[in-house]
Amino acid sequence: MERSRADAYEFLTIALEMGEALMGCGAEVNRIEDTISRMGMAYGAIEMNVFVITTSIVVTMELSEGNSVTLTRRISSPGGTDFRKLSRINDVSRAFCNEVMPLDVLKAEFVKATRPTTKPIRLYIGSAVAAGAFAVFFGGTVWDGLIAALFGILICLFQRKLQPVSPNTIVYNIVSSFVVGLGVCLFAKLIPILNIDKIMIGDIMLLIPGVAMTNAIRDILIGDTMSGTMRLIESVMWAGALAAGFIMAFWIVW
Amino acid sequence: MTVEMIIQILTGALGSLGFALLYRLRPEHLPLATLGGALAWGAYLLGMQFSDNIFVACLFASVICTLYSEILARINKIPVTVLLIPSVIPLIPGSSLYYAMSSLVQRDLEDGWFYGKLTFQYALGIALGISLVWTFWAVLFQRKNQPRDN
Repeated sequence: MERSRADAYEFLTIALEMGEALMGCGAEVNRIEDTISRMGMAYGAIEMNVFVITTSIVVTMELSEGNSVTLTRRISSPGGTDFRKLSRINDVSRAFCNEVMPLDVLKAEFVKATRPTTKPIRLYIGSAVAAGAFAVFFGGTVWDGLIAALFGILICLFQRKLQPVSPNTIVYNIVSSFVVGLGVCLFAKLIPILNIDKIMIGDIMLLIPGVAMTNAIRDILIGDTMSGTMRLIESVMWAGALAAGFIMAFWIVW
Repeated sequence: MTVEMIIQILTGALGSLGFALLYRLRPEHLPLATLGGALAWGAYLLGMQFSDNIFVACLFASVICTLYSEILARINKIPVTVLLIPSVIPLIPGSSLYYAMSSLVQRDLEDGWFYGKLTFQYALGIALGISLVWTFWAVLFQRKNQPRDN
């Protein structure tokens, strides 16, 4: 059955919303391309051309020979990582591909999938546990771990409150690493048994774009060269910003 | 196995658990991610016993981790990334990336270069491991109703 252009337009709008939401919760580029493309084929397109990079989505949906609809979407904020939302949206798209539902139902399902997922307290606990564990993992003592966990909570607070109002990730990284660095250095100065570098590395695991960097190289290896290169350069710049923030704090205190 | 290794495996797993919480995994998937973290570092240490080469050890650990996540994601019907990313967290070169950057900021180019290379070896090893498994996985389990890519 051939869909009307109006239907296709409405469908693509929702599909782009879903793609943007997927990007916002940490999905890989090829997953987003795959999702939009499958949904389009399920909805009745004869061909789908989807191009996704970390900052934009371009879709052309071909309904019949010579009759196609193209929409683009600019993605301005990369967002964080929310795997629960990711799997929910994934479930919606999977259900749509198995059995095409009316667009208003799809829209409703999608809105339901994007509702907030967990209580913030879990994020604070997660940050504290991760920072503490990695301080010890990289050779720190239990005390280093505890202090790192304490600052992990502060980083989580920054991520939730400061990041949304920061002009960009570089500024945010400099500010948060500077403040955390200042705190860690002061603690280490007051309590000499602490290993300053281990505490910092534990906390830095929360801030450092190690996952982004690994994903970037993986994207390049599996053929998404554009996204991979963009992410790689971004992550190197974030890491530089982090180091700059910490070093400034270190110079001030020492 | 030394005490140090056991501590590393345990804290690595704990770190994975922390990140799994941070990435908002469903509670029932948290133990899987934690086990994945332990597996990642265990495999890395095992790899280091055999080859003494960071890149090879990382590649091995990453392959093990990706296989683990692929299988469990398939059983639980969730996207692979959900388990894969928290599991490979202990392999992420956070410390060498930090040392590289802090050396560069302090204009110690020699150390910066050394740690930079180290970071790249880790990241390349992890990424290559993931891509390798995905390639074989795609060949083995070609999914139905997949859009043709011409």
